[in-house]
Amino acid sequence: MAGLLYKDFVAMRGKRFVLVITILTFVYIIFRMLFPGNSELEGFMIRNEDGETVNLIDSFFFIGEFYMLWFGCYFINTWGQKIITTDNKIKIRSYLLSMPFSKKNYVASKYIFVATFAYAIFSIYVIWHVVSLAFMGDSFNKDFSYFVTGFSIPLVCLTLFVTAIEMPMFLIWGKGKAMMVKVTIIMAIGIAAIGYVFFGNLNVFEQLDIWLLIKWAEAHEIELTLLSVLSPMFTILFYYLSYRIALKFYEKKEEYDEY
Amino acid sequence: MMNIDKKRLIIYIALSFGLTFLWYIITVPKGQSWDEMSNEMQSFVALGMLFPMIAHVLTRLITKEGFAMTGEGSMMLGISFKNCKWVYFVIAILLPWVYMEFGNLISLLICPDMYDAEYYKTLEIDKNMLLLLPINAIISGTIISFAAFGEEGGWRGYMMPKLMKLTSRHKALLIGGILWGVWHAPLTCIGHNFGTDYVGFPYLGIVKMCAFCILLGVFLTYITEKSGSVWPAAIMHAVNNAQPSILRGYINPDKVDVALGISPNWAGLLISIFVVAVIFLVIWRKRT
Repeated sequence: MAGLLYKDFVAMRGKRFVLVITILTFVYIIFRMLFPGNSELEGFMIRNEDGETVNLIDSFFFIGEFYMLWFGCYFINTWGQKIITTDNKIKIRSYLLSMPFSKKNYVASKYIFVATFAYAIFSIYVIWHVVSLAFMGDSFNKDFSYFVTGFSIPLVCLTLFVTAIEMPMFLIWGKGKAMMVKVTIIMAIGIAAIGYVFFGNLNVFEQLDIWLLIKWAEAHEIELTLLSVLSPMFTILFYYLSYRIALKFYEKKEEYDEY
Repeated sequence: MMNIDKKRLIIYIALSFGLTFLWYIITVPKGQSWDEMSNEMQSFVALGMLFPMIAHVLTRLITKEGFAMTGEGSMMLGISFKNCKWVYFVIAILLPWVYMEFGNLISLLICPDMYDAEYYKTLEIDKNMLLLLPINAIISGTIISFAAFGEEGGWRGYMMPKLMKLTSRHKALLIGGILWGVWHAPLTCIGHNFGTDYVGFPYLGIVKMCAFCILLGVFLTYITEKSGSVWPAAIMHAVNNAQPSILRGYINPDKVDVALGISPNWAGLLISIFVVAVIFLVIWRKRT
């Protein structure tokens, strides 16, 4: 199993990825310590529409933290596909299955790899968040940072949920068919969104204010906590179910590589 | 000639202590105690928990020990549920809740004056949230367990197996616990865990931390050895740090005087952990 996981790690150029993330994290920590947002630096202070003084350094580091979470989720999803499609591309599956690995080991390794990667990405995000917040002044950025963090666990869970839907498709149908289904679903959502823009009630978005959202989150602390507690439990259950389904169908599949 | 394991252990301890103490020198604002720091700054300083694992990796690099994931002499990063090993994960998740509630119950028995029906309000916790607190602590502790993994990856993943090789189990647990407790000394000196206002500050605090680490180390080492992985210990440590307890919201430690630097709620927790540690030692003895 460890061998299969290491193979995927190498196939995803994992060492390079780890090196880049480590360097970025060190740079982020050092720069944050050098430029704390709780000191009012000349040229970095602006006033927003509400008349509140905002430190641009804080905003810069908050955006860094936010992108870490955003791109992290993107990588979790794309790596979930890539570790399967790369095996097709380099036609290694038949070779792997001729070794002392069962199909169960093979499918399990894919799911474990993605779950481990999601855990690692989320941990790095938390480090960035802690570093960013430690030197942040009391301003809108701080409230917004807490607001985003409140949704970070559900967001990672949602990413894993989507990945858990996609992985069986890529494993069973291969890249061509799975991509076709995926693009069809995305296009259907896109068309529905465009339809809403034309015919739906847009007043909801006109009244949308980030402050209102933050206030809403503060007022619904219990519901949000419940969401943070229940979403991982639900995701773990669904992820396991996805693994069982993928395994059931994959065991019946006879052609391992797509020639 | 010095035993190779002893050499490696010394390198590990030097790196672990050196890097962590350096981190605290850099990050702890001068003259500030733990309580004077903002919550955000406390979390930042607590990132020092990652250094035992970093020291583990560096030691393996320096000593060319290799980076095997599973098996003897490995980093113990693998996870196996075979042969009922999943039980250790369940223990890791639930045991801190059990001994914390048990400890709080003992504290209330020792000192009923500490009971405060509305203390949770000072902790800024809603009454409904209080009931969710243990589950939330368990889930969030498990998900955000990387910091505890930083410690356990070093102490349980490297130091304890080496100590067990060099000496008897009981001695290893004692020495390991003391080292782990002393490693916390910089934080104890700025008032983490026990505050700064007690007789014998900070030395008595360091001694108390060592006692706590020795006892906690017993079952953390046990589940690591039996599961062959540091993950159950990391999860247990993380859940322990998240303090999963409902009774905590009803115990006001400010209502009683602290004698010899030991408050009743700390005494309760210590007794509770002592009982659990003894049970684990007996089981360990029987199963070996």
